[in-house]
Amino acid sequence: MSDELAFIESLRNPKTQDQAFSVLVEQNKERLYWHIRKIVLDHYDSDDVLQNTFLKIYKNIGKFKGESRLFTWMYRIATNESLTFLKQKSRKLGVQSNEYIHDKAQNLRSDPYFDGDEIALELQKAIASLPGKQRLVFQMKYQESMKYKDISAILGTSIGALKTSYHHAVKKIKEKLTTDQTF
Amino acid sequence: MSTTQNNRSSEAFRVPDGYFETVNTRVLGMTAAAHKNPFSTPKGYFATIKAGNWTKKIKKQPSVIRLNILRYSAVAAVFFAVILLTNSPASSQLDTIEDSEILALVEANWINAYEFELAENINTSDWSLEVVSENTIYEHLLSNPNTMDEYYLLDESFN
Repeated sequence: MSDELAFIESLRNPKTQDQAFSVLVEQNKERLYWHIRKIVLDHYDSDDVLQNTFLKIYKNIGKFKGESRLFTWMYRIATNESLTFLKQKSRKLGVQSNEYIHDKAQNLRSDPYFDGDEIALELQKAIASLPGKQRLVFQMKYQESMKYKDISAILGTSIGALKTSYHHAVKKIKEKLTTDQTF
Repeated sequence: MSTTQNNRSSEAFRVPDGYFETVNTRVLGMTAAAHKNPFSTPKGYFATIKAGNWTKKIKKQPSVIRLNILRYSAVAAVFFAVILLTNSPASSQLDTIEDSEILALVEANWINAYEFELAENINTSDWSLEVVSENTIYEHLLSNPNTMDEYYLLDESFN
């Protein structure tokens, strides 16, 4: 933790911040990208959101109070940037965020950066059909193998509520996959 | 179609032959699919991500915002005057902002905000018609960075 505090201090110090930020980007770009990508689905959209996420991190590091881990704070920013992006994009198209992401999932087959087979495609469609919160929780718990404690800190939701959301999400996905594939 | 009969005679539901043997395979396949990342990126994408790209942009950003403020100020002043004139005392602050073009202007200036964020942070009832302009909004936003930088997970699709 003291290492982290020292690193945060170097991010805040004008003399060292650019170098420290380079390290932060190197260490976190891939995991933040994949977190964002699972939410917005499209590579180019993810690239935009990742850029906005790092911009916010850089601009706001001075306000980071150190009450949570840096990793948690960055994930929280990435999550919110992703949700903001979806909301703005869907607003422009005159649809709800859930409808927008549902349509995106339906068209994944034609995405040159989606290499999944039929099962993976159906799973993504099933995930996209979940309500926003359940989708996020399922993604973080199941696809990113995150701990409830960390998800709770990122989403500001109690562990109990997360477990409930996850339970509902798994149930719905099972039902959807069974319905779509068996009959 | 060959079928497997349900044991309970009171029920006549059947499943295709061998169905239950395939369940495990399919479930395992789904589980594997869930953990296998089906998404990819252009070759060498992560190597192109460098902190310098963002730090340069951030250092340039304030002037961009201020330039845009000037560009949009005249238009926004008109919009906002109309909003205030049409705003009845019964309207909530959130309605005022939702009905306005403020969000479009804010978005156009790279400052992302939800209606509720603006509503929570900008007390429109304090503003009188003669002093309000779009510059007032931006001055408020720029001098109260928390307005834009606090993170909420209150998206309606999230709840």
